[in-house]
Amino acid sequence: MKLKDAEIISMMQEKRSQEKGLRMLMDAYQSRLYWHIRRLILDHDTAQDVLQETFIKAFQNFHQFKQDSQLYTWLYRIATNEALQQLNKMKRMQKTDEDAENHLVNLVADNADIEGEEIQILLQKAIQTLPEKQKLVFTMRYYEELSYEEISKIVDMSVGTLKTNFHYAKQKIEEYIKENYEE
Amino acid sequence: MKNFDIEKLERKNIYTAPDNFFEKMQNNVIEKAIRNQPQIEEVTRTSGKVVKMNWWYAAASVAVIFGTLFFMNAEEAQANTAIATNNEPAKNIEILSAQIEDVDQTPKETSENHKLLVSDIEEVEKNKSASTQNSVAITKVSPAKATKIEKSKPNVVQKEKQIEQMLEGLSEADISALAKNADQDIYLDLYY
Repeated sequence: MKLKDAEIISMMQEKRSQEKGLRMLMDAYQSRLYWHIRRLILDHDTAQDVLQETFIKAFQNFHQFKQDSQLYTWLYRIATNEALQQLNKMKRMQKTDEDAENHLVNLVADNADIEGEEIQILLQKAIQTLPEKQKLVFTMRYYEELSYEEISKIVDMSVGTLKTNFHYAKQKIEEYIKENYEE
Repeated sequence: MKNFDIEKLERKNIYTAPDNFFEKMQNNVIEKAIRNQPQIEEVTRTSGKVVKMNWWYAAASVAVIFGTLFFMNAEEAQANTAIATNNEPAKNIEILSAQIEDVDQTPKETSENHKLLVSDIEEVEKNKSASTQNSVAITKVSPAKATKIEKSKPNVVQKEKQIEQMLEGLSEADISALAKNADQDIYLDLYY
């Protein structure tokens, strides 16, 4: 466990220092968690709400945090759950799975930086066509560069399953880009 | 694009986030998680009190229910005892009347005692019907009323005394004659 994590945990456990501890926790992990959520949700406002909810839940359930796991693994888990719940809500608002996929692909275009390279935008669109598990594994491995062991702890999947998921995700993305890229 | 490999692609972030939004987000979190915490605790404490009070009320209600049931059962038991006590004279009267019917079937009996017995029997029959009505009424009434019915017990006792007096008036020969004509019943032992 990192020294900073130990300090955060000890502060969060004391009522007097809870606020300071929570601020330290947010300072340490807000950026990583925000981008993790944002890549799944795409929309900034929703991602911000989800991040906020993640920290509130972490605070309210801090007594349930088992210190044998790492703090960021636990936080990632909460954030992932919250993001997936939000995605499910979003999907329920669409009539079909295809509509939901199209909605997410359009969200990429709406949220992408104007100066963004076409290939990068295509990559993001391709990610949105992936099944949920593959999308989750791919973003965590590709962008956040987490090890399979770490991802395994966050999403409760075996390393073998994660590798398979990542492999298929990569294949699908490459095919999508090959089909849709205009030189 | 034939040989495309995403591993060779530069990992760029195409999304942007507003400046200082983390600060705003942190304040929101602190506001909701910590500043609202005393209110939440207060609400919890208040609701906790309510729950506690509810438990007291629930416990008191249960105690009252059990207490009422206990007393009702006790009253019912008393009533049952009263009914059982009242049934005995009724049974005795039935036995006597059965005996009397047998006596009626013996036309040889012409003694004065016999006449007296017949008149007494009529009286007893009247008493019997009255007592039967009384016992039927007891079985129908509520346990609470059973105590009132129990007060009518002296009447039954009085009737018993009358029967006893009537039997005392009979000679041993009359009684043995009655016994011959009637099937022996263990309840008759009571009158020996």
